[in-house]
Amino acid sequence: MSQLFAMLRLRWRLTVRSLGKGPGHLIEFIAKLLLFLAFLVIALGAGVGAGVVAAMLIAQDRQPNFRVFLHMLFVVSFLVGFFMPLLDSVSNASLDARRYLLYPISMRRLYAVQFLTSAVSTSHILYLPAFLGAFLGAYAFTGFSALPALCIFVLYYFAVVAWSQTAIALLQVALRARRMRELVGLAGFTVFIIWWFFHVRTFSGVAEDIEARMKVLFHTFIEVDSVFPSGWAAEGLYALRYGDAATAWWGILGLSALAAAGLYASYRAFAFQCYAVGTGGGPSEIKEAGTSRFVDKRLPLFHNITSAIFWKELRYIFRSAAGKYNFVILPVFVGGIGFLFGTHLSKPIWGLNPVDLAFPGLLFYASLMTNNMVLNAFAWEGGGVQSYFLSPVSLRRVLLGKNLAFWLYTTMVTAISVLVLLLFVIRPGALILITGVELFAILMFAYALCGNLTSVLQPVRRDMSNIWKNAAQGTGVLAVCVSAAGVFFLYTVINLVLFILEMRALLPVALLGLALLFAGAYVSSLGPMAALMERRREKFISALTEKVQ
Amino acid sequence: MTSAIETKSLVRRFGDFAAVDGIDLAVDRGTFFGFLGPNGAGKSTTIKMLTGLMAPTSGSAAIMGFDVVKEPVEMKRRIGVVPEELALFDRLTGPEYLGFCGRMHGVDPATVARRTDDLLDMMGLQEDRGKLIVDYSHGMQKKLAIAASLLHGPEVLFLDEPFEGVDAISSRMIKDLLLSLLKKEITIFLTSHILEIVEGLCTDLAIIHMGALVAQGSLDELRSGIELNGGGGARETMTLEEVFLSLVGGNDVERKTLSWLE
Repeated sequence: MSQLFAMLRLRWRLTVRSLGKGPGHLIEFIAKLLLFLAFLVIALGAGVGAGVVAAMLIAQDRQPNFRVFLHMLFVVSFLVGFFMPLLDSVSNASLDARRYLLYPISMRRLYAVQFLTSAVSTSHILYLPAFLGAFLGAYAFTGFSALPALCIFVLYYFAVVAWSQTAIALLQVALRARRMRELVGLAGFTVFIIWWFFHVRTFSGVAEDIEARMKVLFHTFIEVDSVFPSGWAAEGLYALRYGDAATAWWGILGLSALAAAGLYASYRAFAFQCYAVGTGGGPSEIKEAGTSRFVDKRLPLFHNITSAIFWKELRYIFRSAAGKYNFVILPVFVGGIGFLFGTHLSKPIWGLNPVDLAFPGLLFYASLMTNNMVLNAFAWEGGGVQSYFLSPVSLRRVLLGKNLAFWLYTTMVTAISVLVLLLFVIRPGALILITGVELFAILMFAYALCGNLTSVLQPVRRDMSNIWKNAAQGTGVLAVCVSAAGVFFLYTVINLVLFILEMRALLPVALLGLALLFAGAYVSSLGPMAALMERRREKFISALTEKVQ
Repeated sequence: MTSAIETKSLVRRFGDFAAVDGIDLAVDRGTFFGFLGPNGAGKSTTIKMLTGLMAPTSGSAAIMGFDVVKEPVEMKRRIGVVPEELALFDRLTGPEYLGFCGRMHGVDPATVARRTDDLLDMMGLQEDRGKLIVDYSHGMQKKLAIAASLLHGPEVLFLDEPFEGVDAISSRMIKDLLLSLLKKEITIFLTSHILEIVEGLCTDLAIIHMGALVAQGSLDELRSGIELNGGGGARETMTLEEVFLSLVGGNDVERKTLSWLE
């Protein structure tokens, strides 16, 4: 047992030490703790709420609805419990367990540690209070028999963790190659978004037929669910409530079998994962990087150094997971939201066309999706940042080159999104179109102003093949939000003044003036930013050459 | 003629701790200079100050006559650096990275293309020119970093542990390359823990210990500065390792044994 305790203690210590020391880390720790507690309270509340809903359905004698409700409850918890750890694992290429293979420890013990630590990991543990709440709610309001119900919940939990661990182990083996991880992440995210919009579309226009459709849908849903642990748990509890002891115990038996099979499968998958060799990432599987035709072309009007940084940065963006994701996701997302506005909001709001309101909003939204590239602009470069300080270059040109690449990328992504909107969804008037573009330009300068400051003051190294794992950069996000709010405040004030003066036709001119003002502020900020970067070079290099957190 | 590298009372403090404590170095042009010291002695800190990655707390340093603090751009035009933490952009391919470095040093594109081909050939990286640097092995990354440091034709080359993690074949190739650079009057400033390599390559040496220089000169000059216990007959045949251990006190360390292994 001492081996087990030693490993569990090591995991605990590593977790505690990963929180770091110092005031900055303390604030981050408190914020995470508060977030965690908030999630626990919400989950507990949701669970109790679910119990109350179940009680109401029973009180109203609506057995079919109660049955569907139980299935839905367990399916949601199954999806969370199964897919959340899976998403975590896609982002995290490291496999802790392999480190322990150096020691004389049996695979079973190793698996026990892996399973126990997974069972209490954040992604699993967050829905335990929901279970508890649902159980308490259901027990208090509906009169379940406590012991069999508890058996069902516990067995269900083990089955979910075990099958989730099986999937993680197999996925880790399949995704050992970096490119495959990126590709699967991108494909998964895209499918999810498309699926979501497909459903929004399907259910938005079928109100007249909805009851009949829902009946068919629920019937199919329960049939499909019956092969999963969620289906067995739901049917077991349903039978328990209505005194069908035989079906209830059949449910418990089925869940036991699923949990046992899950544990065995996850053990085998874990062992395979630990010892699997040559399953990806080897030299033979490394693909060549795509080449580009614009290599080393000098940008007109700009210095050679600025051009070199610009092209390097653009390559980096298009080779990053975030760069690829945004290029696919943003047009789909903006198009989808625009579609909802365009098809459902035809009545004027306060005398204004909703399309005219939506267009600048969507441009703003599009600009928000990519600004993480400018608020921590050196995040992906690691040791490479030393090059800027080892070469005979002006850091002012480095910042400009990086900003130019960010602007071009964001403009390209936004232009595609706008094109999607214009072609298929909404058609704003010329005035809105022009002012929208001006607003976008002002936002770009504002983001670059704030982004350069946060990039120099708070650089954090990031893994560019990974968008899930990287921790949020609170200060940078706050700075961007403040700058965006500031731009919108100015935009609103200008709009209001021109509206009162009945001179709204002058809005494009006024915004052009504001854009030039921001451009001037940006240009004059480059020198001081470069000087600040030079002064902070040691902390800057040190932060960016640290291991990714 | 000015020295290739010259420092005067160079100091770097981290709070109360002096990582480099007033060192005076003078490295002549065209020499292969070995800068040695135990772990944490101040080698990397010194290189970082000499190459502009770190500001000195006090004192001065000049490369080819250009002050590292007052004339950093002129200084950087003349140096090539392979830092301990390689300065690579790992999502570029080898040729893209070399092209980028060439442009950062103001070399014209045609020359960069020609030199990139030569360097990739020499380093044995030509077959991997389409791969991203992140997919290179550590040894390949080291060779690429050396190639990048040479691309613009530096007058002084700083190499911080260039042989670490490099296989025997690559190590031999790098040694031959470095020796050929000496014939072109390029000054090489090298740190390495592999004393046999330093002994075979370097014409001049300096040893730093706890932030202070404890010896500087040729291997023979270093040998002559050592006080021998029990007769001086063996001084001429002392290896660099023996000289090094004598100077940094490695010989005085109490040898401890593990009773349960005896």
